[in-house]
Amino acid sequence: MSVRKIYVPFEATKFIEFDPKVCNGCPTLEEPRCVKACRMDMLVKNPEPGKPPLTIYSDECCDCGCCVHACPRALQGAIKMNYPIAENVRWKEKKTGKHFRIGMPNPPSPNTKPPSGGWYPENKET
Amino acid sequence: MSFKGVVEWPYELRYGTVNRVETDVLVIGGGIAGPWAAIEAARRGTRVTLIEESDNISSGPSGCDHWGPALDNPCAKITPDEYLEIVDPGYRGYINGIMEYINCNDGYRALLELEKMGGKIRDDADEFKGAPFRDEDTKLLFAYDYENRHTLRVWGQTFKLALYGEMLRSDVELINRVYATGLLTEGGKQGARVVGATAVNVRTGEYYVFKAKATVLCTGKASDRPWLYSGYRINGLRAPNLVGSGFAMAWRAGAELTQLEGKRVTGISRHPAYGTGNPRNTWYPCTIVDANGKEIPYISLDGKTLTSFDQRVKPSTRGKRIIMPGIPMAMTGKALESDMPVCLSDRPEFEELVRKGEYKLPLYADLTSMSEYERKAIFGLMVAQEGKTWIVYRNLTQAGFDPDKDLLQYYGDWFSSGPSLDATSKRGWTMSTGSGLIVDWDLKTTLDGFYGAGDTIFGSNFHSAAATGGRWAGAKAAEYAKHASSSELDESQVQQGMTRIYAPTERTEGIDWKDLNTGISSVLRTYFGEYVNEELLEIGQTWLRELESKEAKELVASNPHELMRSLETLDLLTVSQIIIESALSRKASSKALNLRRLDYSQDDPTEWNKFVTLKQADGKVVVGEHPFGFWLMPPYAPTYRENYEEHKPW
Repeated sequence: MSVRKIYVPFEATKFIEFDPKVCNGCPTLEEPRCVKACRMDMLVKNPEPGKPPLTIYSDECCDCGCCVHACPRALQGAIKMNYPIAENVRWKEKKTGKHFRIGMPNPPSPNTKPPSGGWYPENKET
Repeated sequence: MSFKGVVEWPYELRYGTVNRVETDVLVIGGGIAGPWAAIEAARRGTRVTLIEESDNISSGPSGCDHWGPALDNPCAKITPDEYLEIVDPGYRGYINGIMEYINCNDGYRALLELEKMGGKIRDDADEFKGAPFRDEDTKLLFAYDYENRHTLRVWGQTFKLALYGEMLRSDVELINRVYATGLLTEGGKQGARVVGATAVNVRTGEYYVFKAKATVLCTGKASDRPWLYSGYRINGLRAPNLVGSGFAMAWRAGAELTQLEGKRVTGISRHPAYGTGNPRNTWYPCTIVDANGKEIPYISLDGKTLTSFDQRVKPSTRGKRIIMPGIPMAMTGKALESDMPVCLSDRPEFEELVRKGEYKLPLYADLTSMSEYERKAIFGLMVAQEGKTWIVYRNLTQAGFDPDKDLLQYYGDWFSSGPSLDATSKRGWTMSTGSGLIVDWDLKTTLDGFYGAGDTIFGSNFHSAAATGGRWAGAKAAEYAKHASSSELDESQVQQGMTRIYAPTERTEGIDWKDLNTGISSVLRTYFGEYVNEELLEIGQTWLRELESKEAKELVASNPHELMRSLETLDLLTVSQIIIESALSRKASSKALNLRRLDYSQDDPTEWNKFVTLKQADGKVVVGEHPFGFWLMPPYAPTYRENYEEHKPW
């Protein structure tokens, strides 16, 4: 039986954003952690070693964030999951009445307080 | 960093290659119920294979911020029997008493097992020392009802990994990235014993044939894809790869289903699930304020304005009551018999108060005004460590949100019976939590060798019920498998399944799954929307039949990934047909099921207070029924306790 070669389009999108300076594509693993964790199977390993995974079918992203949680370098910015604009929810500073939103221009500095139990209870780069 | 291109399909292409796997217990679906079933069956010495469309490290729709009711926990102040008495009227009979009772009795025991597997279930780091919802001896934290302590606050983010690790340790054969396409029955006959299943790998396209002595179905209910798919991104409470494929498989095999005519109002607004401020579930009992910072009070069940925070978390003294969100609301659309205070913003009269200028929009969740314990429990624990909302905490804090000083906007949504603060928040429907497979006290379906757990069985809802149900069904399936003989597969059924699934890969032109899915959704919205009658439903039925005979036969999949979505959509078409058949079979309106039939306008007439069931026999639809509470009628014992004791696998 002849082997049929097929191709699939990939596209860098804002929904899943990789920083190639931080992400090394999990070179020791058969499958990068975020690719394994993606519930919609819309990430694939980069054929170029050491490079971030490629995004296929990006419109299937369901914002679950499993890819970010699976990444041991997420806090260093290796991978980010950005919402569609409509999901960039708003808040207001109680004291000043100033309005903010996710994705705003000139954003305030991040709140670095970790959640109860810490950021990554079990997820380590080994 | 904008780039695009094409890449060679990264997996070996193996359409038509057949893998044969023989096992004792086959578990289909690796969300919450599936892993629990697999672990329990493996503990009992049977060979177990679990198949999952995604990957078990993160699969399934369910996170977990609250676990319960776990009435076997050392601090609980109500018994399972008292709980059932409170909850049953809330559901107006449309309850799965079997599953509720199992969950109440086994919840804490299962949680302790989870702790041994590596899940975090108590505040051992003393972050919440002295909190009114903490038990200082056990370090357990409680949610909602600080008096009765029936439900625990937990670190659900740790649960999937704990289950995953345990499955690896227990020698469960995990087969990830395969989509189950059909059940195999003895002699290939509808209604006969289930003896295996078929599946397709969603990366390589290879075919799987499983031969099993017992099968446990844990595929869950559909996401928003039946009514709300529009061709763009799909998000919502349930994972978008869920289409109710288990219902389609069980239907083809001849198992009995119920309550697919029930539907739930939901929204098409796109906000991160639980990622906006609100006064319910994860966010309960958060203070809500208006645009001027004026607090919007909580109202008790009796319509009394609550004046202290304590009243939100302790039930009123009148009668035996509990504070339990979501229970009756899940079925009726409104909080009824549980003593759940509701924020005035979520009540119908709020609209008038806004019109009169008493409260000014928009509204906000005000964590800043709450105690540090509450603020951290709601945002730092229940949102941050729920599992599927971890990313909400991550993205909000990264963007600068600080619950110590900021107010997070509340947009209003389908949970609320108050005004729609967002015009699209209540303009759609999703599958009712009541729908699913009919099961008995063994969580066995109406077919031999075939069990179900989690969202797949009727009236089962929430993470802990999936866990306790999965554990129970896994034990029962293992017991059955130990004594059952292995049955030869019907090869013509195997072959037919193969022909069906590969058809989209053999076409070079036609339509894609999104086109078909959008078409199905349009039919459901038009002919099974807010109001229906016989004629509307029949037109809908005709439409779906036409889609099945024409457009479904034009689907094209250019790789195994697209094949997976195409097969999902074909299953969705079957599920939609069962939904319409079910609505046609209930000749009455029902508030509890959110079914509004213009031709039978009286709500819930006495003669229709029952489960209407549907199955296929010899390819024809057979409508049947079960009375409410059939699990306490012959052949079963008359009380919950007796049945539980008689059937419990421990």
